[in-house]
Amino acid sequence: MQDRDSPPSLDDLDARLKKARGSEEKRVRRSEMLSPNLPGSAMGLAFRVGVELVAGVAVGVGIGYALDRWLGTGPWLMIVFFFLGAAGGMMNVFRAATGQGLAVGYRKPADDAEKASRDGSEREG
Amino acid sequence: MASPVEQFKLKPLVPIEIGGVDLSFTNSALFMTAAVVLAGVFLTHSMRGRHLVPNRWQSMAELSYEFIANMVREQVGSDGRPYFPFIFALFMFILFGNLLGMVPYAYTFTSQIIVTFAMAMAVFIGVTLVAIIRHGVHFLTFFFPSGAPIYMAPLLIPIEILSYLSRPISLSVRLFANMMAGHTMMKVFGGFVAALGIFGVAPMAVLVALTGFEILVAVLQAYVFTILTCIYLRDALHLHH
Repeated sequence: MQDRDSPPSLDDLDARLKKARGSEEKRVRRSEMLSPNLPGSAMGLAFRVGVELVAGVAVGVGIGYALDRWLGTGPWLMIVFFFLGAAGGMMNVFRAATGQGLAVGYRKPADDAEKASRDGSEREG
Repeated sequence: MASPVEQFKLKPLVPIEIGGVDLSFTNSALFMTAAVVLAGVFLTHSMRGRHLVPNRWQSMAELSYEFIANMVREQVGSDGRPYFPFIFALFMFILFGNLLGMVPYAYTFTSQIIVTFAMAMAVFIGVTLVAIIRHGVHFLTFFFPSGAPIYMAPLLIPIEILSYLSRPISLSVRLFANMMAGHTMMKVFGGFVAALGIFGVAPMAVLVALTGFEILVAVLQAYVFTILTCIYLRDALHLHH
């Protein structure tokens, strides 16, 4: 085993690893700031967004149709829920595109405080 | 020539029927088992040495562990730690399922909507339960954006609820559609190669690029599914007032 020949170099190795990780983290953090909450690449976002629109409409129509069958209210609830679902889907797309995550009821200032506390806990750990 | 969608056909390998319900062990189930076994073998075998300076296998296992551990820490925060085993298992299962599907003659179980939907529903119900247990009635404030005028509530609350309910659909459809579309496309181009004879070199070149692209998609979709799980979990845990 090679690592047995040079035991004192482990501390050195640890320090070098930490340094490399630190600069890497900084780089990642910077790129995250440029495109917050965007996993990986623009491609990741593109893969996420397209489905989001369709899913909203599908859920809206599905719920509207089920309610219509249950209550016997003609096509009306389906029409109403179609538009509500489309709005919900667009809201999800808007959130994904503006980097607010996909949170329903997202709150910006709370998230900032949370990030600060997370950074603090990271320094401890 | 075989139809491009024939690859998605379920074939019962061991027919089992209990109480009129078809519980056969299918090719899909076989590859799910294979994914679980392979992921387990990969992780346990490569960590067996426990070297201080990792060898190749060990650093691959450590890399995947640290990748998810960092993702959970970045996205969820330190109180997401109890959920790490679930998220890591989910990631490895999807990743191995997607990558196993790239092996010729293998079956891609993530190209079945019921499989991805079951996983998305497990995440959705789990995350909702976590939110309800941690926040109780406050969970309902989730559905009204802060700062919006109160007379908008009748319109905003249904929209928010629908956009919340569309989460498992978008989560499952995204993975399923990507895998199914990619594998269908590869089969179609494969058919062109066979049909065009000597001119089949052109679709063959496309096929080579497509295979690389599909491996990228396989990894990317496992990543997207996992990171969205993390984002949903963060929303559930850090629901402020």
